[in-house]
Amino acid sequence: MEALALSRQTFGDDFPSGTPPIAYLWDYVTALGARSFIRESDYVDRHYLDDFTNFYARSYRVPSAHCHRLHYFALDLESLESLVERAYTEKDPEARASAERELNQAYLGFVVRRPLAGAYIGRTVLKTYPDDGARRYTVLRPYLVHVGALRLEVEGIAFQQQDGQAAVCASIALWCALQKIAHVAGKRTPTPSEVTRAAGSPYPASFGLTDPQTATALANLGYSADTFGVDEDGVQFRAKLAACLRSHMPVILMLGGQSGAHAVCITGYREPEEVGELSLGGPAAPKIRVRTGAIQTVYAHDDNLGSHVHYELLDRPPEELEADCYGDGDAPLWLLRGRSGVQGQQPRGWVPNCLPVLAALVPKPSKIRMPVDDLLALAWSLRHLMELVFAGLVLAYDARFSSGVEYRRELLASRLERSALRKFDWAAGLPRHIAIVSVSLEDGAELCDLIVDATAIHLVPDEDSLLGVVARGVPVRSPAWKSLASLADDADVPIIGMAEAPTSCG
Amino acid sequence: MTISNDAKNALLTPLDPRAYDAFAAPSKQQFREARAKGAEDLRQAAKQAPRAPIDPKLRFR
Repeated sequence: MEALALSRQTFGDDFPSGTPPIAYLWDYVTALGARSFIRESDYVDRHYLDDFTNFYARSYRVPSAHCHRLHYFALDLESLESLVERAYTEKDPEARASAERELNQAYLGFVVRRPLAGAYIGRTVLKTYPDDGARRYTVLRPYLVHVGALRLEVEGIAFQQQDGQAAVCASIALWCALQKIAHVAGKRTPTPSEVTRAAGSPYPASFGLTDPQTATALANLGYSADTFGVDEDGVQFRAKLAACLRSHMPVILMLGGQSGAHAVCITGYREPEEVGELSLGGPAAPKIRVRTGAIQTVYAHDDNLGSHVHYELLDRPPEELEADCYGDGDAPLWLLRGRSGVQGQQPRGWVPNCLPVLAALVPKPSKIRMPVDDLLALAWSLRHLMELVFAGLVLAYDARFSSGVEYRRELLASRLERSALRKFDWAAGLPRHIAIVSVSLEDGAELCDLIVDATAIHLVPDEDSLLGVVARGVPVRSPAWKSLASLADDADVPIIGMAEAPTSCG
Repeated sequence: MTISNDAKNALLTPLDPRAYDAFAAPSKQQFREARAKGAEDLRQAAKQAPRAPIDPKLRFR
């Protein structure tokens, strides 16, 4: 292992070609503030090794079975060397631990550099861009990393470039998504070759996978596959996409294309400034406001380019991209693989293009049986109760899944009435997975959450599905509280309210 | 102050005990009717066409 200053030259020693994925990687790590790195030579990467044994080892010209792993730090080389030295040589255990903590704070993640000239970028876990108030990277997980004896951790979600041989976009998009879902389910993440095998395609991996084969791969790996299509104005699709992401579930977008179709894994979105309006009751039915129904910017792991790439969901392709727009011109929703409007801000060397969105595929832990479609239907059906409780207010809705335990932990950190929290927590019988419909005011101020069982296969219209009411923004002893309490009493479910009145309601 | 803010204050400001007791929350009947409308909405939503199938020959690569 060696520590080096990060420069174009040292970066180029590992990544000699100037393809868009390499340029994107350089721009990404330098934007994160990387100034030095540790090169871990002869690294054995489980995911590459599996591709190697299943494919490359049987080639005429066999690449090495070993990789390099490059660990990036937001430290100059001198500081990195000093901290590493302290982490090894300090006699006091607390001083060693302190040096390791400081290294951790500056650690930006790693890139496995494969010995494949056309696809150097192997398993890559890097931090995301910092929170600017609107970025929502919702499908991250911690990765424990050992650099020699030093123990580091990075919060991210693994990405890798497609090699076009052992795995192509559908397998890689599934592989990225399962990095999160397998972690949640407490399982080992499958390798790209395992994903491809699980799809059961009779053709070589380079032929790609069909829509049914992608879902089959999920089922054979022990996960549920959910899916939803594109509606006429794309508002439902956007709201469902965001609902999955807010549930910490990555979404695979199935895209049309010119020569074969493409798939990318969506890892986050940008909070929209507008609010979408949707109806599930036909064009003449009233609409409900769904905050995430207007999302435009999404972040994607695209194995053609890089991790957390800024892409945009558009109703129609921009005029200037007509020549780079592939698919049916009448498609209601498009993914712009690039940025709209701002010339010169595209990833370097990347020619933006626009692909029609065909559908979304959602890998889920198998016990979340409620379809994503039902999440929005739930919000839609509960509006009558909410309009009764909050009469006269303009309401907005959002929906998501959570685990019962995670939601309980969320409540512990909230502004709910502390004296009632234990009683609510102990009285509320929550299943392993729950659906939550959140009701807020038009300015985003939260009012309440309605909790429903998500382990049921379908909502039964005439059965009470409500499990509890969490009135996050409703002060106890306010009129809205009294109405919500009556609702909870009528449904025989527990309720909890906000600890104190907000300083201003204006 | 807009009407919306008036409505917000009216619904979300804690009341003194006497005013709280006097406030009439929606009746059980009203809740029952709202739930019935919600059940009807769920039935309608369930009738929505499932997503259009993707051409099974299309290969994602």
